[in-house]
Amino acid sequence: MLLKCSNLSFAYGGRTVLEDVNFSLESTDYLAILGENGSGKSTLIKGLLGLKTPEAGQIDYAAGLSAKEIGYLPQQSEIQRDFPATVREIVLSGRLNSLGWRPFYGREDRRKLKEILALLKIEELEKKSFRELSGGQQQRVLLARALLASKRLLLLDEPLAGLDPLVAADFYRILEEVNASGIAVILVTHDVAAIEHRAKKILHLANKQLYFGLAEEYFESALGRAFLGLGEEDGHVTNF
Amino acid sequence: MLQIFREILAYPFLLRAVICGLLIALCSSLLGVSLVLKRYAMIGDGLSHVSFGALSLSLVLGLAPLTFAIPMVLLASFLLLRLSDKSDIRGDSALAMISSSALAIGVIAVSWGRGMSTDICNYMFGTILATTKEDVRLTAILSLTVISLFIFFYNRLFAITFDENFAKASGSHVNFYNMLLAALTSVTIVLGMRLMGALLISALIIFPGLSAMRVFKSFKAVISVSAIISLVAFSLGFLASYALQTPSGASIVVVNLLIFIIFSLIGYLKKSGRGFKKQASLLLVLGLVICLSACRAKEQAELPKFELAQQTGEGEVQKYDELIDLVENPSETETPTVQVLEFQTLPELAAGEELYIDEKMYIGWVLDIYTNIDDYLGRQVRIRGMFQEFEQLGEKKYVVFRFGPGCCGDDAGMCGFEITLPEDTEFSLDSWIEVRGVLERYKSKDGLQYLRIATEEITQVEPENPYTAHY
Repeated sequence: MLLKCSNLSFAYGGRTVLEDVNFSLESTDYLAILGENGSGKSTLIKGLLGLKTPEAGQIDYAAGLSAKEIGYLPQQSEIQRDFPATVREIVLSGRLNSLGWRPFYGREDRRKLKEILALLKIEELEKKSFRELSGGQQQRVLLARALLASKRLLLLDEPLAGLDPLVAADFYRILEEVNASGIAVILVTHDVAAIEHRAKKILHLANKQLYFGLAEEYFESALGRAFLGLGEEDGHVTNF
Repeated sequence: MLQIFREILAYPFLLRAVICGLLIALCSSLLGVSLVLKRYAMIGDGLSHVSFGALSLSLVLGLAPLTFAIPMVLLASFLLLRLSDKSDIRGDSALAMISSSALAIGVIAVSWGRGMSTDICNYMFGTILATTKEDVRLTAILSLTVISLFIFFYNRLFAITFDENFAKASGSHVNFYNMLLAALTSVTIVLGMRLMGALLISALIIFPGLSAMRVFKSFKAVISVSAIISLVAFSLGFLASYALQTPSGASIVVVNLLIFIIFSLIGYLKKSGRGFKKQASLLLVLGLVICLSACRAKEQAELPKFELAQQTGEGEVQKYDELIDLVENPSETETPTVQVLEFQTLPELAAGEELYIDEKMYIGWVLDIYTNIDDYLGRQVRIRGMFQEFEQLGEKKYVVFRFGPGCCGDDAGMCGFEITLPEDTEFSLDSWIEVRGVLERYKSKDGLQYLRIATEEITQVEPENPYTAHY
C-alpha cells in the first residue's frame, strides 16, 4: 500500500468542499479521480501533495514515501505561460528533489533529463523558450518535469484540458508506460470516455465520495454508466 | 568620459559611493527577476518605505542606522509575506497600508529629531554623500553574502519562482525560500536606500529584470543580462549625474528607463521577425550614442551666466533664492584642479599632500571630512570660503564657510570649518578668504571635542564663483 485516506475532509474558509473520503492506493495502481467541476478533485490532489491541510481525517503514506518521490503536473491555469525559461531549465527543475544539499545539477541529472526528453519525444525542444511553445508542447514539458520528479507516485491534475485528441492519446500511452515501470499514477480528469479502458481504479467525487473501486466494476455500475452518458437513470448525479 | 571617470575616482567619497552602488545594483538585479516573476515587485517598494521609517527612527533614537534598520525591514518583509498568504486583507492593500504607515512614522520621527533637514531629502531621493568606511565594509560583506546565497540557491529559487506548488509538492521548503528571498531583498533595500533614496530604490530592483525579459528567453540569460544592465545603468547614471550635476539616484533610474525602452523595442522587432538582428544592434548603438552625446552636449553647452553676488560694503551676501537653479560653469572650475589621489588607499598614500577642497565637490568634501574624521586628521587642507566669527562661552571663534542648499532648496545652510586666526590678521565679516592649514581636533570649554583647521596661511581672495549649487 502506497497511501491511505481515512475520513478525509477539506474546507475553504469554513465551507466544506469535500468530506468523508476513504480510499487507498497500491504501489502499481492507476487511479482516475472523476467528478464535475467543483466536486473537490483538485482539492483532494492538493491535500495528497501536502499543499492543503485536511479539515478532518488523515492521510497515511507508506513508510518511506516522502514528497521527494512524488511528481506533480498542476492544472494549466496555475502555470505562468509567459515565463522566460528554456525547456531544459524547466524540466531539470523536476530533479530538484534529488539535489539534496548540492547547489547545482550534475551529470546524473543531465542524463535523466535526456532520457525523459527522449521518452516524450521533445529532444528538439530542449533549447527552446517555454513561452514560445504551443499548449500541447508546454503540457508535455510539464509532464517531463513531473516524470523526473516522480520515483513512486505521479499526480496529474486535468493534464489534457484543451489538448487535441492525438496529443491526448499520446499522453495516455506515456502514462501507461510510466505506470508499467512501477510508478503509481493518480489522474484527475473529466474525460471519462478516454479513461474507461486505461485506469485500473476509479474514485468518483461529488463533494463526497460516490465510488471507489475497480474501473471495470465502475463502468458496469449505474453511476458509471450515467457519468459516461450511457445510462438514463441516476442522471441527477451528473447534473447536481 | 574617461576623464570624468578618473575625476570621480579621485574623490574618496565618490569612490565609496561607486563601490557600494555597483554591489547593490548587482544584488538588486539578481533578486529583481524573481520578484517580478513572482508578482512581488511591489514588496520592494513597500519595504523601501519601511526602510525609510526605520532609518529615521534610528536617527531619533540615536541607534546605528543599518544595524537597526535591517532587522526592522526583515521583520516587515516576513509580515508582508504572511499577510499576503494568510490574511483576509489582500496583499496589495496590506502593502499600501504598511508602506504609508512606515513613511508617516518616518517623517514624524525626522521632524522630531532634527526638524525637516537635509536628511529627509537624502533618504527620499538618495545621496552619495556621508558614507563611512564602515558602511562600505558592511555593504560589501552583506551584498557578497546576498550574491553567494543567491548563487547557492539559484536552482531552488528558479523552481519556486516558476511554479511554487510543484516545488512544494516535490518536497522543497517553499516557505523557507520565500523568506530567504524576502530577507535578501530587505538587506539589499536597506543598503541601497541611502544611495538611491526610498522613492527610487525599487526601480533598481524591477527595471533590469524587466528589460532583460523583453529580449531574452532563458532564465539564466535573463538573470545574467539583468545583472549586466544593472551595472551598466548604474555606471552610466552615475557618470551622467557627475557630468550633468543631476541627482545620482534619479539619473540612474532614468538610464534604466531608457534601457527598458530600447530593450522593449528590440523585443518588439524580434517578434515581428525579419532582419531584426541588424535593427536590434542598430538600436543598441543608437541608444548608446544618445546617452554619450547627451553627456558631451551638456559639457559643451553654453551655460547661463549669472551675476556675482553683490557684496555690499560690509560684505553682506544677498539671500539668493535662485541658488539651486544656477549651474556651475565648467571653465571656472578648471582653475582649481583636483589633487589626483591614488584611489586604492587614499588617505595613506596621500598623506602629506595638500587636500584642496575644490568647488565642484565642496559640500562633498566637507561632509566626508566630518563623517570619516579619522582619515583626515593631521591632513593639510586648503579651502576657500567666507569669513565669519561668533562667540561661544566667552571665546571668539572663527569659521570659513559657504552657503549650501538645504532640503528642497528652500534654505541656505552653512557648510565649512572652524579655523584658528593668527593674531595679527583681521578680515571683515563675509569677505572671501583662502585658508591653508592642518585639520586638528581640540577640546573646547564646553568639554566637547571639535574639529578645526589650525591655520598656517590665510589670505583675502576674490571669489571665482560665490555660489556652490550642487553637492
